[in-house]
Amino acid sequence: MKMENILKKLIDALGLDSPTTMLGIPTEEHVLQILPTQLLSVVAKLGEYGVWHLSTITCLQDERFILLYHFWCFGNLTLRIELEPDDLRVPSICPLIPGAEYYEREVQEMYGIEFQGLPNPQPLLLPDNWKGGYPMRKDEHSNSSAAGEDRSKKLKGGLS
Amino acid sequence: MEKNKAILPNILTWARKKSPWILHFNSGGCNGCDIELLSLLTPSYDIERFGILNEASPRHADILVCTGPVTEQVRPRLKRIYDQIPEPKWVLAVGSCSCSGGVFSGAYNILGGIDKLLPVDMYVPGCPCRPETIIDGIIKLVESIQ
Amino acid sequence: MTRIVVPIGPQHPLLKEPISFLISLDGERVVNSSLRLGYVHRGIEKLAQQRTYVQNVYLIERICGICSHIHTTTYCQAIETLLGLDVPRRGLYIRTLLCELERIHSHLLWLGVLAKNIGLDTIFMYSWRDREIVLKMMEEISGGRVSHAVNIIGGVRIDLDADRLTMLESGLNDLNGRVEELIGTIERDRSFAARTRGIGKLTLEDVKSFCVVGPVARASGLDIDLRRDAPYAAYHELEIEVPVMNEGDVWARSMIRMREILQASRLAKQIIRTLPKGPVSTTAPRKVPPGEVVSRAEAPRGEVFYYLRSNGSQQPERLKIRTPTLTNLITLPEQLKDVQMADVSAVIAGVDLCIACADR
Repeated sequence: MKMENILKKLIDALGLDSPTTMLGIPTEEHVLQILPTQLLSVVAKLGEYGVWHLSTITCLQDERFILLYHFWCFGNLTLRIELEPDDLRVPSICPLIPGAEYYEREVQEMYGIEFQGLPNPQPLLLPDNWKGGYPMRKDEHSNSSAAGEDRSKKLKGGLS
Repeated sequence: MEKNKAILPNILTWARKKSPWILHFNSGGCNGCDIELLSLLTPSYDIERFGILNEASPRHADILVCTGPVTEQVRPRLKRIYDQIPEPKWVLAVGSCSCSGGVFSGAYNILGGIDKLLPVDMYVPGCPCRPETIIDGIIKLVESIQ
Repeated sequence: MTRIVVPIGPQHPLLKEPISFLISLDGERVVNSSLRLGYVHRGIEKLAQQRTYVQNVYLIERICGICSHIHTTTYCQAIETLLGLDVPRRGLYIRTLLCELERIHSHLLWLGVLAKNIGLDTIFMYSWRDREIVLKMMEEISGGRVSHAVNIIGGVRIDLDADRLTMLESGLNDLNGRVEELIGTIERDRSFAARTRGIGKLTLEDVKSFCVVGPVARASGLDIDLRRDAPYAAYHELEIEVPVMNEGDVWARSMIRMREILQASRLAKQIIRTLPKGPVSTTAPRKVPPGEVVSRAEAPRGEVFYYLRSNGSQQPERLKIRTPTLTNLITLPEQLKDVQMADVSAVIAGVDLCIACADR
């Protein structure tokens, strides 16, 4: 089934807003704005229609946090979810797409968004002794030279 | 007996110079230097003609060859591997990011070059290093062993 | 019965890069396994947001040393789409040529690693010797053996003259002969088959549910290849056939990759024969208009995904990178279930891990 038809069926079935687009290669990417509560039903419907490949989950920080679920199945589709900064919770889609686990863990540790029902919420990329907060957030500057100096001092003390 | 004592260090130095075994550890690099280091084993470069052997266990190695900057997660491991190598030991930093942090300096998870953590005996710059450069670095390091 | 837990990594002769596995055994059989990433995590996504678009081309190339060119390709084409640049066809062709040469290099490197991991050092030596041919070709045209710095925003930095094209053609002919010999060897070799057949199995359902990409997916019967299904660069003008197999084991993955080498070499020859005339690049402005773009490309290991958001300045506001190894890694605990401890090395090598890519 073509992505346009899938989109049409999906919107009719769940009563969603009409899609917008963003740039893509070679064709434009369809963007569908949904609410966090609709996520599971939309992903389940997509699975029914044969869209199984989730490329990744991107998180963006504006005034709100935005999650982008990039699907690909011989056509592009991005689900867009906006989250209020005081309620950073979305349901995990791991039960529907087991391959989403690493993407969700990465967003969780980098931005502090809680994926409810994530089977293994251990850190994925950050070190075991990480105490620097959520490194990808805009207000986080853990890479300043001050942090570097601090670390080298610690090391000199520890290396003898 | 007295004479033997004087000869023994000379023999040891001679033996070390003839068979410097290296241990390769990627401390957070991009793979570029690693594959160049591994191609040293292959027929085109063949470092074994210099008596150099790529060893898998730190306890058998003489030279620790590090590629890449030191990441936070790797830091305790690198220190542990260095401690496991028996004395005398040498450290060779291969690649720009291993020498100074290179293109990754300033990242939140990067400590900097290998010399932030371990005493480095020889720096091999290049991004990535050519195999010939790495051989040159190892040979120069071996020649400097007294 | 007590279970034994065997740690593999972060420093281990099996692994060329640091990653850590914990494998619980019941006798010789693997019952459970877990892995820990993050040893090579450098924070490139954050770093890229603090540098300009032009500086980032250099940084992005250093995500991974094996597939450095495909990363810059994906990145540059994202920016070119945002800018609405019309990249000259010759530039796109040369870009594609490098992509294919890199695929040959990556697959030959992988064959060596697999062969070494299962104890066939001769094949390791042969495949890495033959790999030098393609490295020399890439060095001849770009100046770099593993990092080529060929892509710039708006095209490529290098041009190919008639001498270089002849050199490439004869190099590829030489390589073809050797690769066919290698394929013959591993197809007939009984010990290679014994170590790779029937292990690390993934069914088509597994592959779909874990969002697996690249040769691993194609070895389980999933017919996807972005070069054909979502063509970028010059692929829409080239003839591509995608090898697909149904066994889903390490053997099938080996065969897929070996066939892809021949396929890549055919593509490279097509490009050399049909290279259009004209300039190789166009000038690009330093500032990128605000907007969002998604860029995908088929790396040697599968789909590379870039998401770029611009706010109109000289620096990207957000650059998301997803590499194929990260998706393929999720399947490793699944693949390792019930294999013998001695086969773990073959299974790990069969996925073609690139930890530097996965950790970024």
